Amino acid sequence: MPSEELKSGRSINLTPKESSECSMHSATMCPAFGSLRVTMRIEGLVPVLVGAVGCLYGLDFVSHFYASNKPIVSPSLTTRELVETDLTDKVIGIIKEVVEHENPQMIAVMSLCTPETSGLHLELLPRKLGRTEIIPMRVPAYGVPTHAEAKDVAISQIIKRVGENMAAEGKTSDGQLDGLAVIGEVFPTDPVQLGVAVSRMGVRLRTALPHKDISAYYDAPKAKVAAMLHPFYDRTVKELNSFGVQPLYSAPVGAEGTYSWLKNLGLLMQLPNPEIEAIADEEAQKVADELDQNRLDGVKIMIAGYEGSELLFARLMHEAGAKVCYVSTSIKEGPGTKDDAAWLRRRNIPLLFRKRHEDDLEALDEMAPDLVVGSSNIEAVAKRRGIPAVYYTNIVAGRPILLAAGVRPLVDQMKLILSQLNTYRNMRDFFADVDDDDHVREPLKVGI
Amino acid sequence: MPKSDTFSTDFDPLADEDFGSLPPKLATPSNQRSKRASSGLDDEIGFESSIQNGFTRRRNVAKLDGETSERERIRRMAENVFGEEGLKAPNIPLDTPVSNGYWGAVFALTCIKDVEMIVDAPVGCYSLPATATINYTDALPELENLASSNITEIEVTLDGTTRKVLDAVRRIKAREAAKGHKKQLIVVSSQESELIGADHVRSLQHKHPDALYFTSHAFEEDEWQGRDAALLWLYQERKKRPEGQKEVSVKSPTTINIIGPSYSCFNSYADLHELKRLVRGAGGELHFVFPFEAAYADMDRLDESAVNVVMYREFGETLAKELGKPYLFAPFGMQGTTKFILELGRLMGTEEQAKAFVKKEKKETLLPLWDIWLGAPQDFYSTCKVAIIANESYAQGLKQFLGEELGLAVGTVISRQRSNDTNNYMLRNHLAKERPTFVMGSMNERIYIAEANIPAKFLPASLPIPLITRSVGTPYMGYRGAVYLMQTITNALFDVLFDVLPRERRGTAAGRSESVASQAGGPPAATTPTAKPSADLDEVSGFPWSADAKAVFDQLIEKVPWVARISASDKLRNAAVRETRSNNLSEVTPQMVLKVLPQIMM
Ligand code: SF4
Repeated sequence: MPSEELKSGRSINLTPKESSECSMHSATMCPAFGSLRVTMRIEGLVPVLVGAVGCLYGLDFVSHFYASNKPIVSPSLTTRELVETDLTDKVIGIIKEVVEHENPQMIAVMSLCTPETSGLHLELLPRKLGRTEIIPMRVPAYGVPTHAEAKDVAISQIIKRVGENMAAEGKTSDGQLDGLAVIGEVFPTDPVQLGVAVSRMGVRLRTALPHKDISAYYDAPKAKVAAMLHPFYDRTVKELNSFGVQPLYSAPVGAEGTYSWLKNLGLLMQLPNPEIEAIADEEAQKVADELDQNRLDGVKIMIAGYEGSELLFARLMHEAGAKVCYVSTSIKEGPGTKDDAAWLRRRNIPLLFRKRHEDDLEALDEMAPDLVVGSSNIEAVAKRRGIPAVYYTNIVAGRPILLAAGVRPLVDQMKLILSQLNTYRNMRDFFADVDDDDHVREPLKVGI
Repeated sequence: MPKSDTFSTDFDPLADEDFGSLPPKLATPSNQRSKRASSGLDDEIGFESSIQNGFTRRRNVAKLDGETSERERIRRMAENVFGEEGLKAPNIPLDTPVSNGYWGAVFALTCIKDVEMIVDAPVGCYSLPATATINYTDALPELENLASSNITEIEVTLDGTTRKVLDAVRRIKAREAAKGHKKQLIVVSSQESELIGADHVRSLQHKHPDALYFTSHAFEEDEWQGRDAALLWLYQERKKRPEGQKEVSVKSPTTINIIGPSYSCFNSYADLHELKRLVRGAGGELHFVFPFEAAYADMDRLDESAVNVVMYREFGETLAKELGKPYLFAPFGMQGTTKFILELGRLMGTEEQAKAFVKKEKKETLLPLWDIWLGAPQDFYSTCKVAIIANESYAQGLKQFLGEELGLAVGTVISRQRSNDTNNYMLRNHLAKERPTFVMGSMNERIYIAEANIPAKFLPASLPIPLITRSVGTPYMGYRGAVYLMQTITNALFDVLFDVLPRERRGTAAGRSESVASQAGGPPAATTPTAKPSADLDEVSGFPWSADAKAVFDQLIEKVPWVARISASDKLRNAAVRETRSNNLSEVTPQMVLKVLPQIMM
């Protein structure tokens, strides 16, 4: 399709570049979803969500769709409770009832925008009731800007607590740290593959977080190195650092990524260099072999997600031969993104942090990609134009990406979507007379 | 004008009259304004008179319950629904089936297509209704006419949100002007903006007098009250503006409007489709569907109808009252719908046409209902226990049709209105005890029955649930709804039957004895194909049972839905005998029966 056609007035570009600080369409779920996603999947943990009814309804909805089938304890707030001081008491009362009736191992108390504004005193919550650990998590949207970062809040708060417990019981490893912990939500087979690879270097994979067993969280502070497979775990890094655990950033994705990641791991583990060099080389070669077999040569792909793992995916796509024309994410630039960002920039791949929906729309106009992997609203805009497009969260986040085993599934998936180009175009052509140039429809009609 | 703090001391949440029992009073047309805890609002009289084309403030009608009375109310509800048990319910609020006034306003007003809405809210309040949930209910990729001021820390702690809201208004206006569109801008408050006392009436009035500002009362009102109030407000607001001043008269005695359908209402597309058919069948001319098929510019049409049909009991009635015309609620069931059609005919003076329509419908649309009734599948109806947990219209409508008209054993019925008016914790335990054949409800109930391992079939009847119902072929309301529901229930019964029929292996007897041996804890037997295929069954039927064990067995089987009983009793008996054997006991004891119970419960 000629890009001229794309550019001709079909943009719903809302913001000329002028005052970019005002974003009316940030791309993220309600951030608290991130902490719900982590906590709801922990066995023996009861999630308690404190906020207005609207927050509970929406977060319940998406969590029961994307996280787990677990009921959420949802004390809803009235104005009276917010403006007077008994809110903390009310929350404590509910926690007590939960402990009495369910006796869980852990309760996560997530405090949303409105209780954070009005002053819910999380520090006054009991640390522990009976055997139940009570872990506070502050996740107001105006303080924790993306759901990715709220995952960090959840994991770091749990590690903080288990660390304190270990210290109190004298069970810390006193510098006798050993093995590797990996942090970041990946496909379940990814840590298994990773464990096999690092075991060749004599490194034991201790734990992979987030995890459904609470005990896995007790293992993380005992690791010598914690690999942040995703770049937004700054708080978790800080917590682990206090135990002497060293962070390793980026992930073994693509051939170059695998090589440098394994080498860096070897360095942090203080392993003998020649041996590490050989293993890193071999593993990278396996990835390269896979990449030889699985190509996306010349495919112009636009990546516009909000999960925080877009940079890795972009690296893989580039190595598979795709022309990555734009990468955007909702997380901010930080220590965790440094290496991957530099790698992408060296290859002149446009990269945007803390993006807005409007940025993605502009990019879509300018780039005229063959394939869009993005948020659900950019997906819709692309499909309207007959461009094959998928929702990043559904497709990329649900597939292996690490090491050699991470190449084929994603490349195949992209090929599959691209192979349906005609279907996308036929759909567009069929419905061409439904939306006008600005996608504004007539009011929805239920005709008879 | 004196400016109060965000939490002014004269704010008395209990000052309004007591909150009565359900249904709560909804907003009434009134200029009275509540004392709200928000800045710039305190000098109410001076404020209102200082503005031409004044904004109507809705009166704050939902009562701000004190903690004690709120608890009392929930306890009373629990007692009503669950009896004695309810009083002992732990006070653990689980999930929420209804959202708040903010969501109500968003869903009721954004479906008006020449409205552009700006919500004064943090990012999640935008993305949850506008992209995350609407994908999975109305199947819309996003609410395109919604934007957000995107409150961040600096607005909460220092600046307030006025600058951002005004900026958003300016930009949207510029965008629409560039396209040559004329849109109605509406700014809506959210829980967070109300809490920090953001109020944009004055600044909007000053800079953009054509934009409207709606306070959603996000804390005090539930989603239905929010929708109800938003619809009424929009109507009253227009009346005050120059374009709303002209006299509007009723078009003809048969002009009908439908009020209520809006985004994120369970199954509304199919129900609306059926409702339109009924209106036309009764002799009505369908004039205006508000707000769903409306444009702000066409709102005069609200006054042009002779009769209004209010689609939901939960909201829309206040506007219908304000319009001052007779109104009917949308009907469920075969009898309910017949009454509706005849009554509508009477109101329009088209009795004959309405009667003829009913007669014709019986022979056409409704005939399958009669045929299913005549056949064998109906035999199971009276033994089929149904629990219904839904919003008021659906809960009452389903109860009437399934229970009174079809004779199903309708047990628990919960009409939900407010977010926490049902103790879901108790509900879960209650369902576990009652063990209904079908549970009709939302995602929440679906999770509870899965969690408590209740072998009930789940049928969707309410949001929240990821369920796209854009096809118009699945109505629950009206005649077509009656047929569709009856068909659905009957097929669900067939499904129950499928699940309880024995699933004997197709393989050789070898596989069978192997499984018996391993169940008994022994090593997989080195069997030959000549092993007696029915050996274990013979031994089961001859095995002795203690009287207590027999009693427990009978009690348990009592609880199984009728259609599944024979098969369940077989399974339980076999499992209990095997367990007894493997424990080397000489007769089946109650303990053995209870021990194997979890195995056979689906
Ligand atoms: S108020 Fe905050 S927590 Fe609640 S929905 Fe809005 S952004 Fe999310």
